[in-house]
Amino acid sequence: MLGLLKFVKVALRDLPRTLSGLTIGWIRSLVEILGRKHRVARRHARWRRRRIRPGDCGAPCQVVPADVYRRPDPLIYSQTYLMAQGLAVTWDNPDIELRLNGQPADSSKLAPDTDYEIVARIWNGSTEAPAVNMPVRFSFLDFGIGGVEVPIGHTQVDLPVKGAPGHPAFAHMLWHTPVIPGHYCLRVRLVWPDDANPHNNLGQENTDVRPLNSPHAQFRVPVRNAARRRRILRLEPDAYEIPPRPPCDSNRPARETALTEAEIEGHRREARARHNRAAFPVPPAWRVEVLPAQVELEPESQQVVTVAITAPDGFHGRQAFNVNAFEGATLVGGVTLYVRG
Amino acid sequence: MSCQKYFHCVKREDYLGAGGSIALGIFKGLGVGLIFNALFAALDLPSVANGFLAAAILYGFADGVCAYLLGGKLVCIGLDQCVIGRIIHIEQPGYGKSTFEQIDDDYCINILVSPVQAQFMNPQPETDGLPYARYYVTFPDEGQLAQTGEGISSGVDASVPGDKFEVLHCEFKGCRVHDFCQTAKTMASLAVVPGVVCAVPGIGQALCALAILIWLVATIVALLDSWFGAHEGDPADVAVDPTSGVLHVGDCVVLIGDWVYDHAHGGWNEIHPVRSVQKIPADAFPPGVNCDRFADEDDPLLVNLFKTRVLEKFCERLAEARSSLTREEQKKPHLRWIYHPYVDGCEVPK
Repeated sequence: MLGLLKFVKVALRDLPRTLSGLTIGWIRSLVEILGRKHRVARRHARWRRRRIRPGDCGAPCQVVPADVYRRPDPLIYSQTYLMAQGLAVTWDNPDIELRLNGQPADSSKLAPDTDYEIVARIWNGSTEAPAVNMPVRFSFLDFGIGGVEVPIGHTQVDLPVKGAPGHPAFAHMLWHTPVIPGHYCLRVRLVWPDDANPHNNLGQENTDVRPLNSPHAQFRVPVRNAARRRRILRLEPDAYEIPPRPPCDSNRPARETALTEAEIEGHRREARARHNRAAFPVPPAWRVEVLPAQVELEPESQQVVTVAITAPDGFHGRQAFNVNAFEGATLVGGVTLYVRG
Repeated sequence: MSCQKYFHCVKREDYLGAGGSIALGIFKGLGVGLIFNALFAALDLPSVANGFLAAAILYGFADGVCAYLLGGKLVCIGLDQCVIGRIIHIEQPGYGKSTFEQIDDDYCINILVSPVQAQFMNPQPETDGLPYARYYVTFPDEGQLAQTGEGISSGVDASVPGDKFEVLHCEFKGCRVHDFCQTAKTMASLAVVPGVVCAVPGIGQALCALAILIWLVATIVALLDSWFGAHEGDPADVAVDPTSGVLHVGDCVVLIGDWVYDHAHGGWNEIHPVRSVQKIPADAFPPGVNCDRFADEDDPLLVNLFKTRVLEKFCERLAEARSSLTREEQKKPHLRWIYHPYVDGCEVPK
């Protein structure tokens, strides 16, 4: 009797839903079914266009759709990735900071045989997947382009999703500088094998500063070929510095956490416009001579390149120049040189 | 896109079983149908009245079956549970199912959960009084783990014939149940159309029968289309959508899903549906701990290390990712960058 009463109670509770489903719900369902058919037809057409055939994921395995399968996207300001997107870069990495006795230190003026702390700021491009206990590897190269990589150490960080408390995460590493005085290129590599974008995991900090001497400054930059084949490297200067971020137009939140296709395309367009290398040439009144502007290097060989910078008369302040080394269209390395007058 | 969102378990007190769900559906349909039947009969439109009654009963039947398939068979134990384990067996769509059972085009992974999470497989007070079974994977006929070489490190000797291992069964839902149910209910609602056609004065019996025949054929075609058109777990998806992923036997995963008792298969506890899954790389474990069953499951130090340094951290971070506070934050303009906040982000005005 109690069961029957419960049955009737549930039936009465659900009656409005049944009523609306039967009378008007079918219209919405029909629209959804037709929409689904349309999407499937488009998908099949796309497959046909791209000549995609169901592949073999190497059984035993299972494909899981993107709305269930999550991948984090740990990232750092990565010169090679950004340049591959057609964007100008600086080697004065905003995500890598050197500290001495807890205070920010200039990476171009390293004291030998001294304990520094390297702090790397790490972002997550994913709104869904954290990277817990993510290994972060620190290393340095001899100053210059393409030097030998020397490991410093590694640590682990917990990287929450974008927008969660604790994002961005900071990785700390103690570094005892080599006894031989010199400039070094710091490298921070994020290690997460199942990464939504594995190309933005390596950040580098490689800078040097010289005062202008009536009104010249000269830098000697070793360029090394760490590859196992002969390379021809082209050295190109530009005057790019990360411009100040524009203020957010409004505080109106988006409707969804995931970016729409249109939003992504808008960001790409805007980034290319704001960080286009062509928009940051050496200023007309300045002269930057890279000698030689192209080097041909055998495997494991090195050549010192001279960068001579001449400022316009009466210059006061600080000016940055990047010298990027390309093999064809691929960025191999680079350095940011500051002159002060 | 998958259809996990359409599947929801029910509380123990709302559990009716297959027969109860169908009976309830028909009862509700009959109730609504009788109201309309009386209304149209009063308007002297008997064929419309009969059409509504038939449509309502059909709709109620479909609704009852679908309510069962879309979650009525699952008794909730805990929503949004977080589990870590190693995949030792994969059941691809259609695995071990009869043709009719393949209406459920789910696919499953069977995992060996860490020692501190063994409760996931045990009977729970939330399902008291329901017959309980355990879920096993048998080796080596299943064979998969042996192929990966992960067996030994998982504490599983997959080479011993007939060896059984109790696993946590984790189901990913396909779309066939939802698509088929949606089509069935829509076509049931449209059963009233022949009734309306037949009510047109002077339509004649032949045209009336033709209207019924057209509805019948359209229904069969639509149902077959929804059955065969459902598409899940196709390896080509990876090529079309590189953000989809591939799970392999041997992978260590952390997953979030509803912890339920599934009465349909004879009764066992499982994760159903899996709402998110993520691989954990070997490097993400502290020294001495990994995803495998520990050599000595009673080692409290190892268990504690796993719990505090892996399980709790992953589960807390995943819960954070799903929290409404984080969701709201992610919608704010300063977090809508794609490359890097300093490249295509904006600054919040002070």
